Formats: sequence, structure tokens, C-alpha cells
Amino acid sequence: MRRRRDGGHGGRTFVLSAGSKSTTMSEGNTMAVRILIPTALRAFTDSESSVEVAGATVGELLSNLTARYIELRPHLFDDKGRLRTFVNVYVNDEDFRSLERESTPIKSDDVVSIVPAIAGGAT
Amino acid sequence: MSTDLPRAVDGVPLAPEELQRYSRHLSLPEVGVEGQRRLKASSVLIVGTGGLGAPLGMYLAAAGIGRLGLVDFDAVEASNLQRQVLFSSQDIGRAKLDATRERLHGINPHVQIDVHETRLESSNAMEILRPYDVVVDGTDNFPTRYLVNDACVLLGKPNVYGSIFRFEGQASVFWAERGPCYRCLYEEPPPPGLVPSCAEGGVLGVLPGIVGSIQAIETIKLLLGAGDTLIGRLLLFDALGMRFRELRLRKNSDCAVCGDSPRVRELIDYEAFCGMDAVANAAGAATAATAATESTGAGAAQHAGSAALAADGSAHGDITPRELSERLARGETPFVLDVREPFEWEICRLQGATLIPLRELPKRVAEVPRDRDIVVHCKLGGRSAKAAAFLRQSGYDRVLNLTGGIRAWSETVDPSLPVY
Repeated sequence: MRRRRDGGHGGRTFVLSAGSKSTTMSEGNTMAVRILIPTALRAFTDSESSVEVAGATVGELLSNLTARYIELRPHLFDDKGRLRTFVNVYVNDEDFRSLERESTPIKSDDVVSIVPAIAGGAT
Repeated sequence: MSTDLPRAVDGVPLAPEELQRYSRHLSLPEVGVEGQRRLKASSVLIVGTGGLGAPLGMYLAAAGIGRLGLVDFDAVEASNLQRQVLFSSQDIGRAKLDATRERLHGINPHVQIDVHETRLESSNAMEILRPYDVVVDGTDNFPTRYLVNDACVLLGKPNVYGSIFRFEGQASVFWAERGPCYRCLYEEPPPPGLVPSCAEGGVLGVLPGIVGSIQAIETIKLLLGAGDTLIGRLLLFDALGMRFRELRLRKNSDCAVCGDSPRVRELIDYEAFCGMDAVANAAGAATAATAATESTGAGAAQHAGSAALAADGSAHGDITPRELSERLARGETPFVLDVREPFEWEICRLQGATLIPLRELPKRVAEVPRDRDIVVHCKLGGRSAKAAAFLRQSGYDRVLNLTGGIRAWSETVDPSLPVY
């Protein structure tokens, strides 16, 4: 069962597609939130394992993140701007798909994690 | 949450030697004689006897699991020894299953060991998995991971999952009857080439020791019905930051295999599902542009490479190392394009070759001359098959793929080149 996060953020929902390049809020005039970058994608974030990005929703954060690190973009989004099916995004320990996806509101102490599929093990 | 697997333990006594051997288990209230007999009455299938399979096999054998099944088809290579601690240097060249069986028997002769020396495929997976209580996924590629997942869902078995990359590990327990499955976590695999394999990306040798040991613990807990297993949780381990984190996994009611109305009701073609047929492969290499990276060999990439070769029938576009060396000896000057990574180039290279790593090829294709024969090579032939397909798509019609890569060159033409 998909559950939506309840309560507390109702007044602050910026619906924004993750594929959109522009945001209604520019970086800097809103709070910064920490995004954890997995090893596999650090090649595209100047080796940073954690990046502070501004945004009020998951969609805004990802949009601002990929605007800052343009080479990261094709790894997160397909040609149509949809999050790739082998990349998951968590807000704290919850899958954003079980929240409100791109419109999930973010608090300043939330931690957003990008968790791509990895397959290694035998070789 | 109780995770008991139903099992009759009557008539499974422990011999005096076993009581001694397992005494540290017997003193644990969560195990005891009853639990130890349970383990002895249990069976576990380990898919893949590599980095994860090494601690898994050794700890599960030592713990006294009654019957351990092993699936693998590889031979031990020198590059395995940095992390596959079950093998010793003398095992290089031996079948992994022979070496594993011998080692596990040495650790605990009370354990029955079944070997399945084959590649796990849709045609044999149900039959191989069926006689086991728990399946442990220690594989190294997406097609086999989705295959193991789907077979476990269809058979109603728990799938103890672990995966590693560079300094990072993931572990969970997928059991569709009681929680999410792997497809609930990742609906679809990445296209080939977008995510580098351990062979290319590297992996800290100790990492599979941690993740495989976590899988072994979860397996034993499932068999004992003790504690809280990782059902519904994804454990992330970051060795560089030395942090464990935990994410919540939910069953996806729309999951293709374990959802409310499953669309996958029998095993499918997982190579095709993972886009490893030639056309998708070539297109993937081309469109992934900035991202295209690929494994240097074993597992998925070998699949990918051989699938690409087979499917685009490119026997006409192949050249063997011997043929290339004869052409060079005749004074011909093909453009030899090495599409490996710079660190591989540092280890060994063909004289006169030009290095353009596969992932840079789309950007740097103009550096490849159009008026000469092109011979593309990598380590084993997988990446170069993609590069060759990409070049042909880009209008190059004189492209040859060096079969077997620089490894085959070293084996048949110039043994002085180091093998890695």
C-alpha cells in the first residue's frame, strides 16, 4: 500500500515537475537541504558525498541539484524528465513515491537520499 | 515479526561431535539445541560463489546449515583473491565450485553440499531453487538478480539480498509473502552501461565481507525465526563514511511480479528485460553518451558483450588477435582503438593503439579516422562490441572487433603483456 505523508506541510506545496528546468524559487532565497549522493554518482558532483541544495519540495531540490551538476541530470532523469526507474529518492527513510513524489514538501532538517540500483557481488 | 519457516526437526539429532562444535550456539537462548537442529534440518541456496558467496558459504557452513546449494560456473582468477577470501592462491584456474566445496567441507564435514555448475537461467531456475528453504542472492548482475527475485516470488521463498559497489553496500530480505520484493524496490534495471560494474568501478575487498556476513546473519535468523529480519527495510552501508543507514521499503501494490494483479506470472527473458540484446545495447551505448560505461568482463557485461555479438551476427565484423598480428606483420596500419579505462591502459596496452574510453567515445568520435580500417578492443570484447556497434551506427563501415580483447592477445600473441 502506498501511503501519503500526513499533516504539517499542507500550506506549502509547490507542485513542480522534476523535469522542469526552471523553478519558481531561485537557489539562495529558500532553505538549503542536504542531499546524500551515492558513490556511483559522485563522479558528477565533484566527488561530493553530500550536497546542500535549496528547495521546498523534492522536485525543486532535484531540479536545482541537476541545474548545478548538469552531467548528473541524465543519470537521474530520462528524456521525458521522469525520474529513472532504477533510481530511488528517499526523504529521511521514506521512499518519495510513498509520499507525494516530486511535490513532497521538505523541511530544513530533512535529509534526501538518492539510492540507485547496484548489482555487484560475485565478481 | 515472526518469520518462522515451517520445518520438522524431529529425527534430526545432533551427534556428540556436533554438540561440541556448536556449543557457542547452544548456549544462546535464541538458538539452543532446538535451533541448532533447525539449522541442520534447513537448506540454503547461495547463487554466486564470489565476493558475497565467500563469507556466506563459510559462515553458513560453519553455522551448521544442513544442506548448502551453490550455483556458479566461473573459474578462480587472480583478480578474485583481493576479496573472495574463500579461495587461496593455489586455486587460480580451478572451478570455483570445486574449490568452494572443498573449503566448505573442510570447515564443516557435517554439511551436505550440492553444486550446480551452471549459469542460473529462466529455464533452470525454478528447478534449482525449489528444493531450498532460503535463497541468498550473491550475484553480480541485473539479469540474474531479477531472475532470482522473480523465481523466489513465484516459489514463495525468501530472497536474502546483498549488493556492493566501490565502498557501498545494500542488504535486505525480500519475501513477497511477508513484504516487498526486489521489483518493489527497483521496478526496472538500468540500461546496460549506465551503471558501472565492480569490475570497472572497483570494489573495496573487505566490503563483500561485511555485506555477505549480514546476509548470512539474516539467513540464520530466517531459519531460526529469531529477531527482526530486514524484511521491509533496506540497509545501506557506506564504508568510506563508516555509516549504516536504513530505509523503509513498502510493498508496491502495482508490482509486476508480487503486486495485486501481477503481470509476470512465469519467468521471462531477463537478458532482454535488462536490455542486453544487441540493438538496445548499441543504442544504449550511443544515447547514454556522457554516461556510457561498461563492465570489463565477468558477469553482466560478458553477457552483454556476447549477446551483442551473437545478436547482431557480427562474426563478419570480428578479427582474432592472430589475424590482427598477421595484418600488422604484413605492414597494414589499421587504427587500433582501445576503449578501456585509463587505469587499464596503464596496466597494459597494444603498441600504436589510441585510447578513447567507451564512455567518451560519443563525444570524441571525430578522433576516429574514417579512411582506415578500425580495430576496436577492450579487455575481453564486451565494451569493444558496443563501441563497434556505435561506430557502425555512426557511419563507420570498416570496423572490426578484436575477439577476446587484450586478454586474448596476451594469451595467443604476446604473453609478455600482463593479464589483469
